[in-house]
Amino acid sequence: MRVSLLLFFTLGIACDDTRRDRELSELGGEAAAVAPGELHRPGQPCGVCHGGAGPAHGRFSLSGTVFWTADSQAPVAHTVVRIIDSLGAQYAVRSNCAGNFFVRDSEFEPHWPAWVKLEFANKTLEMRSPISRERSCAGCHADPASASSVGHVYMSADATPLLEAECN
Amino acid sequence: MQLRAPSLARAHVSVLWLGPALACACAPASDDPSVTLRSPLRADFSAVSAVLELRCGTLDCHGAPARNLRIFGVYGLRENGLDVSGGSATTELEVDATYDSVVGLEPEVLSRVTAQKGASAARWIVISKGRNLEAHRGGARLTENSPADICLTSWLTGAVDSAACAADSFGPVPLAGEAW
Repeated sequence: MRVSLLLFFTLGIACDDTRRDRELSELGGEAAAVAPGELHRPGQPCGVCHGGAGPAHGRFSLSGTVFWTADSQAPVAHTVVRIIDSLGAQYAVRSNCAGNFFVRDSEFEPHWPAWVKLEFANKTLEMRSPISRERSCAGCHADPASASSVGHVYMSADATPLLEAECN
Repeated sequence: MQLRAPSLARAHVSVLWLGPALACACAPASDDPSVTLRSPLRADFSAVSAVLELRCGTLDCHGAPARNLRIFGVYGLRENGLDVSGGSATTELEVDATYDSVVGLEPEVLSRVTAQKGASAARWIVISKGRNLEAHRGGARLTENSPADICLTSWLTGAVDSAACAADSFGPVPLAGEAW
């Protein structure tokens, strides 16, 4: 019995580690000329590293990247990302010049599920479904869009960017 | 503790009794070994599916392919592998697939609940998990006696409460005095 339990937990940990190793490996290396920080790895699932188990310090309760359109990799800066949780608590954060945004768990920890909407200029886009538990937008919004992925988060349904963000 | 080997005579008697007994035990009870289980009707399931899709079927929950309970549709997994999650509306084939997945969970319990016209519905895992009566990472998604809960449990009675299904709403509720 004790041996079985030990084996069960050992295998459980081993499987979890394998999955995590795979997720970390799939992220690849840092892009050239972009140092690790608030501007790095746009579009990637931030929670793989910023999920509390390292290697990054700190934990994000929600994070992602906003792009212009479904087909564009151009980021949108200054988008207001509004979050409301199942208890009605709200929080807002702005995307930076890389389109990235993140909420540290020390600032706001939603009571799941949560709902999100994006605001830019006079345009508002509300996510149709709740976020049940996924802290990385790219966990569900990975590219390419498919039968099991929504594709990246984008602000505008039309194809004309109002302005392109640049990080200088 | 010291074990004694049985004598040859005792072993001989055991084999004489055991042989026929095992033969009887292994004989089929009837020619048809299948068991007929009852399940709520697919015809009534579309309205229930719509409730489950939004509340439970997102990609980060039961709209993911690795789950035992898989809910197909616009907010999660697409059945045909071609439609895009978040794209076109849920299809009837996806409702079929969700139905198959739902009635495949604890089918013997579901059969008893269905045969008893939905009595003690919380015996069935979909209700007990949905109400968070047993450990459920998603918490209470179907609060007892809420429209969503009535929608699902009425389906188990054989008469879906369409009004409850239609009345279900699952979205942000801001605090008093606040806007969303």
